[in-house]
Amino acid sequence: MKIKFLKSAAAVLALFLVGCSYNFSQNERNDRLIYAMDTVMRITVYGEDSALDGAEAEIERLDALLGFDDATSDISKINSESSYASNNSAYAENNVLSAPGGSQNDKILVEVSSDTAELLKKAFEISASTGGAFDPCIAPVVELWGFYGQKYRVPSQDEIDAELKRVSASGYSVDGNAVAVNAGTRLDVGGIAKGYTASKLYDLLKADGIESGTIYLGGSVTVIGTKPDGSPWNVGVQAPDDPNNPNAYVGYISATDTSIVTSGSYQRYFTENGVNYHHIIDPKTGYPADSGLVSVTIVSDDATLCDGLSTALFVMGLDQASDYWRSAQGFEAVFVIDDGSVYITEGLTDSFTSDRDYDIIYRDR
Amino acid sequence: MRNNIKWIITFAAVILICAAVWAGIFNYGSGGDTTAVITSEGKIVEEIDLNGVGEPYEFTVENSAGGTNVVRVENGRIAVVEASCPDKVCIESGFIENGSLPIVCLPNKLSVTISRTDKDDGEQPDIIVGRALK
Repeated sequence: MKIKFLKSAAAVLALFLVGCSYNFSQNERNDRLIYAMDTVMRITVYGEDSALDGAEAEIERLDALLGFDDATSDISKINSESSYASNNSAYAENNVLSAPGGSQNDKILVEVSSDTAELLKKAFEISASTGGAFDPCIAPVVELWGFYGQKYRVPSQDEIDAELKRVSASGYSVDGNAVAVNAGTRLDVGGIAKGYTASKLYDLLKADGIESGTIYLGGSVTVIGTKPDGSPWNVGVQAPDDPNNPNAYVGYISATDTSIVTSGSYQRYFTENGVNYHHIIDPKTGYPADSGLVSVTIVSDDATLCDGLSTALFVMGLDQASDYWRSAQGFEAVFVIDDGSVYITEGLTDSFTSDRDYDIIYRDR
Repeated sequence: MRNNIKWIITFAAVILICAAVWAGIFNYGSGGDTTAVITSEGKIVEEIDLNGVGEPYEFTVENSAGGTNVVRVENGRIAVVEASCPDKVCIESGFIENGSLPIVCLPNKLSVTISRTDKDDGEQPDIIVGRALK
């Protein structure tokens, strides 16, 4: 009788312990909302909540370095020195470097942190490789259109022409922590700062032992590993023709250890006299890019590249963007054009699904 | 002596059963989840089980700067219906009923999220890229 009782107690205990160990083997889901870089961020990890403390601190650190509005950021430091140099000939005589090869544009040198230097190096590379379709010096023109601080207006052609002269990152360079830019330049790395931040967060969270999670920075997505059950993350691509419908998708991308960024004319725009003016400015014309595309989604394991190329390929339009993709490596793309048709690059054939019809862009024509 | 052992075993068994029941309730609660979490300036101000809503109701969240958002709660879904912010993106987001997207009011630093269910909802994505936030 007593033995029977002990046996059943032991059985209950054993079952309970099995239950416990099962629970402990599952990582807990933790997530956090963070407001930074003028947007909202949501980081979800399957693992220790403390990993999110590190991520939040990293976001604050990078935000302080890279902010365009923040008077103490590295970017503001470059912009104020460049502005001072262009307005003060004595400064220019003492501090200006003659560009190698005798270019007509002399450069000023500004010391920045290693993060800012790394980010600007990448920005100048993307700008050069896309023929200026992405340009981190576009800030003065974007400001003319009122996209900073929502003071929207349509500027005159004269105003645009005057500012366009200051736009072009061509010939800009980074040597160690020293950045060389033209006097008068105003940089804004808002176009790729989120991507850079995402890549740093990915590295940080992986180093903290996180094997599964998502990093959502104001519309841009980076996924860590797979879902806890081992299947890929299912990333919905917002439908540009129904932007306020949270259940309308162009399609779905199954993703593992990948970043995905979309640039779309629907994301920020204003309407004047019945015409929509969106926020993706073509650095060549100074006007909102009129390329026939309404959204470009870039998939790559390099989040900074995703950010820069989503803008650049939007400006290029479908044909030029397809040629750029054929000549480059390391990314795939989903294009939506203004009649609603969808194109994907060949490398997404196995990971993209959609209820809509779509065409595939092949590397070999 | 014998009595003592019996008591200890009985006591242990009762604790184990209680723990098992508690764990069962806990797991049940987090399994079929439609809990909406409302945060203001990063702090949780309200948690609502959307499956347990009878009559629809509304309440106002005010932040430290005096910005306000009126949240409407209905059975199974939730929305922001009035806001003091300039852009009203939070209102345009409409009702949400699953965890793939939060409602966010950036100017007032308000968010409404629904914790994801672990059920497989077919083509319900885990996360969405390219959503306009402002």
